[in-house]
Amino acid sequence: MGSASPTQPNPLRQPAWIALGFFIALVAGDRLLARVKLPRVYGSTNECRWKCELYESAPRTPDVVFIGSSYEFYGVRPDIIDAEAGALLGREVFSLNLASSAASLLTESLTVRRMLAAGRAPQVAYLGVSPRGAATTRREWLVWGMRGLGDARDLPLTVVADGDMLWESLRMAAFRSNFQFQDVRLMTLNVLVGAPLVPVMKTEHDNRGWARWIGGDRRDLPAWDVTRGLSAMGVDGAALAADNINGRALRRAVDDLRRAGVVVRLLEMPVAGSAAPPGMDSQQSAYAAFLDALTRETGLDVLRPPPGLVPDEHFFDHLHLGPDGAALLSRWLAVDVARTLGASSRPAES
Amino acid sequence: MLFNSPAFAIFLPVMLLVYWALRGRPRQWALLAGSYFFYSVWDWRFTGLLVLSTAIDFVCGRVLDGCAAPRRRKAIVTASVIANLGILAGFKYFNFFRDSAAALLSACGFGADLPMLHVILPMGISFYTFQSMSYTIDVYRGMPAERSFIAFATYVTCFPQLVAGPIMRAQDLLPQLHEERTLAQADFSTGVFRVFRGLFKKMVIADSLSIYVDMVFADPGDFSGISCWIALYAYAFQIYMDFSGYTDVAVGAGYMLGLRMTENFNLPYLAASPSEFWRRWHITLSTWLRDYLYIPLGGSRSGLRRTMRNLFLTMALGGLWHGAAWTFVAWGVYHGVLLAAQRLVNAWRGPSPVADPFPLRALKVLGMFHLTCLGWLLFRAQDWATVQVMLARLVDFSSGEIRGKRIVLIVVACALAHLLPGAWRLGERFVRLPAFVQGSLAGVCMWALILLNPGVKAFIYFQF
Repeated sequence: MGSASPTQPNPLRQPAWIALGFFIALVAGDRLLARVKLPRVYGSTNECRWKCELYESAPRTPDVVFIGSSYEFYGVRPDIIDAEAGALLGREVFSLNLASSAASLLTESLTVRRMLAAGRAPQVAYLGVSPRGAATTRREWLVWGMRGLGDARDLPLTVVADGDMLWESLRMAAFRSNFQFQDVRLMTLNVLVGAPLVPVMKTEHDNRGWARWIGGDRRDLPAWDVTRGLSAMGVDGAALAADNINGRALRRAVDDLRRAGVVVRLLEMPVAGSAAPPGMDSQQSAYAAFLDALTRETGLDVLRPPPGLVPDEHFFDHLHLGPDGAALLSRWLAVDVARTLGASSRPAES
Repeated sequence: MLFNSPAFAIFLPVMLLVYWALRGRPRQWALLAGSYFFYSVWDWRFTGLLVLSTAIDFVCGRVLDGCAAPRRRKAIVTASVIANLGILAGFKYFNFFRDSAAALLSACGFGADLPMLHVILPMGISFYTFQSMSYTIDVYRGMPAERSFIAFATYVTCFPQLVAGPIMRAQDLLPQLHEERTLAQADFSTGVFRVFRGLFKKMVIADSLSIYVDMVFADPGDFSGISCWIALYAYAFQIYMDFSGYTDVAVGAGYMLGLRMTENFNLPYLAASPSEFWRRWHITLSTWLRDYLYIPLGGSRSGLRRTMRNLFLTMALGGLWHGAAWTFVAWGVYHGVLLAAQRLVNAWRGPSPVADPFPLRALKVLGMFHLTCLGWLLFRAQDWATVQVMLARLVDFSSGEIRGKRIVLIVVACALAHLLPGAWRLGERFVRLPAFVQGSLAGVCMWALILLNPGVKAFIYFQF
């Protein structure tokens, strides 16, 4: 390092003071932003936890559970499943929709873990898979993954730190990224020290931030706004095909369920014909590769509704089913539920 | 490595610490090693290409230096140019020409299964091949050749300017690399200011604008005419903020290393004519094209017709330099037409001895800005169909919802920033602040980057 002469100031003093001012500003910003409370607009705080409590407090163990994201949350109606499958089987059927309105495959695996931890396993579990959930980019799975962690905050978890995670978690502080700053700070801390994360996070979803940014409400957006939202936010569709946090989470969920003797069905929900392809072609092909690998490894096949089963007008935003669409789909799904329950010899635990 | 990535946030301070901890030759080595590391983070396999390009021109320069025979000198410089352009053609243009040839043959009724190269475009190849090649041409023109391979390799690969310029001239950078540099306080502060200003331009302004621009250009048919105009204006400022932001970081990092990089921008949208635009936009490329292409072609020395031809050729090749697509060529030709038209008007009207009055100049600036925006349409559109749809939309004001109103605010803010009085001298004011305050402001800027950046996205010019 260049030594300072008696007449010349130490050349390192300037950078050192700049660095000090920089870090103090960072810490001060951290403290200040920790006080920021964001309004909850969409989704629900600890929705996953709430769903798990619903499961645990159910009068008896459900025969069937649906675990997934907003696709299943909006698209599956247990009341119709119960009636239709019950009629086909000639006995009472009890199903629960545990899907979260803002969830990822990671959330699904957390739901499964908590559900199984309750000591009561259903006969059949339908796990939702979708291009948007499975073959997402790093940024996306972090966003969704963080939601999952927030939703299942009572579960002790270990988060595997990724090279970009620190940066991403810092960026989560963005007001449009749906998280309160203290969550981000906690995440960052955990990534920095590599410690097991015991989530005490509180999510405040603001999924309409994107829609607000470009003006208008989510439902007013054309198809590509909804489907390409994250891509348009700068996310490249190039996906982590067979090995991403969501993919691993889904595999884990399948394994956990099977180990508990639960019959697993993978369910891909329909989207409207008016919906643009999810993200870019690379994302679609990554999703296909992911599903291909998963079905090959697990021997499961993917249940897909026949094309045209639900007319476009039954989707409220090109992706998610409205009540009538959900009824149509649930009637179709009930046949598979009845068939699967009929084939499953294990009686429901009471 | 991207300037707007966390890796760079770690790399730069570490690099600076190591760099300033060393002196003399080890410092040079550290800069070279750091530059190669910087590049290899993207893809280490292509560092071989960097070495090859460097070695070719270093050897050519040395051979030229010891050679007096004009024909032999010409052969050497030709070999260097062919080698450099060969590398560029192979990696960047082979598939483009292959596709174009296949389309042409098909249109003529000949089906041909032409071979295709399955290679990715090495990052920054257009920049470092041009920089390296210009050195050999300069030596051919009489500049003394560099004796030290390390210094020359550092000149070619110096990380601030490696992947997207500024395209440095050997006579500007090489002497600096030989000097024993000292860490000047004002330089370091200027570097901090430029780095954060550049990141703000890129990560907050350009990336925010890109959200709307990407949507509109993805499907312009879904948007009203006014929305398309907003997207076009937004893109004009997106590309400026993106590229000038990159240059700011490059120049700022240079300052921190005690190196002066050439400035690349000078408020381009204040240009009142096409030639003035090119004196303000991507200055190092336009001067490169002028010195190594336009003037060797004859420049404006052989009459109006030849001048026009040279302008067309230079700008068309300049367009092709940007990307292997006909839309880029069309963009270059478009600017060639503008420059030629200006030449014609000047020849017809004769030189004006007095400067334009303010209202006339303002009108000219506004007109030139819109001409530039139309050029950006060619530059940004992914294909001809998009160009056609956008053009149709731009002249259709009949109906449709106006979207992207918030984007207008950013665009207006960018335009106002363009008009910011030079007397404000924000950089100089920043440098005069106490160091602690400078750091605090940088920290505040860092928070702005974290909070307002919509996503990590590569710089537009990285693809070139």
